Amino acid sequence: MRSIVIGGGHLAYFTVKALREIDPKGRIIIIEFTSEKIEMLKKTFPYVETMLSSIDKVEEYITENQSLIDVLVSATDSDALNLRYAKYSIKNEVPIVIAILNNPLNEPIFLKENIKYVINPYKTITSKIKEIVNKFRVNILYEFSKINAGIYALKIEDAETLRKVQSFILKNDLPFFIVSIDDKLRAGPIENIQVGDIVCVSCLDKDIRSILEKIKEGVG
Amino acid sequence: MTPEEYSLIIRIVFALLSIVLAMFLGLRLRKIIIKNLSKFGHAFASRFAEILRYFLIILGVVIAFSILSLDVVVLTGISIGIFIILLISMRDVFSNYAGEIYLRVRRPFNEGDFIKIGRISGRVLSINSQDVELVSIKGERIIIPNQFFLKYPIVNKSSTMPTSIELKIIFKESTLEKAEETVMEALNEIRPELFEDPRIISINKTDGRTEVNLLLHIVNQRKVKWVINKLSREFHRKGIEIEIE
Repeated sequence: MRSIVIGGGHLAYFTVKALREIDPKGRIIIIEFTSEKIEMLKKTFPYVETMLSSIDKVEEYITENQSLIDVLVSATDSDALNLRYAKYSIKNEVPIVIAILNNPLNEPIFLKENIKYVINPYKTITSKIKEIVNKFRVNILYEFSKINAGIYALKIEDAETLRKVQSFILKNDLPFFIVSIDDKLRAGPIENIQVGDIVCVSCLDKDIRSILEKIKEGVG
Repeated sequence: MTPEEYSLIIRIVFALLSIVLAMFLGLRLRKIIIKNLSKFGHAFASRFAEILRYFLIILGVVIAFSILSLDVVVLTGISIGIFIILLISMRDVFSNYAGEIYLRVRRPFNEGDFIKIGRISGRVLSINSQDVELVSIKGERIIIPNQFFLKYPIVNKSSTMPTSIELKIIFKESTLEKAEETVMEALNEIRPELFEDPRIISINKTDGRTEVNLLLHIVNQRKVKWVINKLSREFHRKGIEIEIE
């Protein structure tokens, strides 16, 4: 698999490691704009190919290789450039185009431009803090990139919430597990859920919004 | 003013009113439809709303004529006749529009997805009001009228799923062992461009020719041509005569 990573900073570091793990025999080409970083990348990742390019020559490279590129990850330290290269790659029919954000507030701009795969590296901050402080109604543990679904943690604060969550799981036949108040993992059955537990369910995001509304509004 | 003249003026006023009302309702309906159907694409919603608006205006005109005491039966007959002629002469256009409604509402695939319909497969470049544009694995652009999507089953292979491609390499003069070894050497050259390790499915010897069937996994379907050319060059470089199917 031929993967192109644009940018050679810290975002590229994790990208290259993941791509190498996915396909150890594949080609990874990093396009960077400074010769100093190119030298460092060669030392850090001896298995990758590096290419020194000017900012405006990247599109030319994409055009020339559009029928050979399988994955393109736009991971420069500028969201404006990431958006520009991602848009250009989609236009040139690169099958998998991924943009990595520097500023999470720019995410809507990328989505508006039809960039299907946008990675927000800061997304875990909220869920981690909620988990550590242990104060939340719903915590997003993981969101899938290809489908509008995820793994969500629901905190059972009272008997009313317990009843609603049990009914929600039964009605939608959802896979779930329980993290008990003493931080132990338990599987079902559903009757075993108690007040104080955290129930982790995998479901569509619209379903989790619906149950959250019900919990908030007190509508059963 | 005679009663006949008075009656004619009243009828003209009502006829004009019916046209104005039809135009007004058409505009209102257009706004409502665009608002509610824009989730299926603004261009699609606008077009659909325009068709309904013109339909309402024509209806208003027919009613106006009937108010003016022209024979309603004759008018209705003419309208139905025109409608049937239009329907027959433009049946393909209409069924393509119906196909578009199906594609927009049901969304069996999106732009960028790799699909198979009938014997045609390729990646979806654009979904239009009359057709869907695909690019095949050989790089050919294929235009499929939307009505086909109402008639044939659609297989949607996700755009990001690697495509499995079977290749048959025919050696004109070679032993089974030699053919396998040569193929593996050639495959090593193209491996970095593939999604995972290629596989030899079978090796057979028939009529003095050795046939090797391969399975390759490719993410970018447009790469197939390049892979075949690269393999051919590799064999040619080794001085081996082959055919690739």
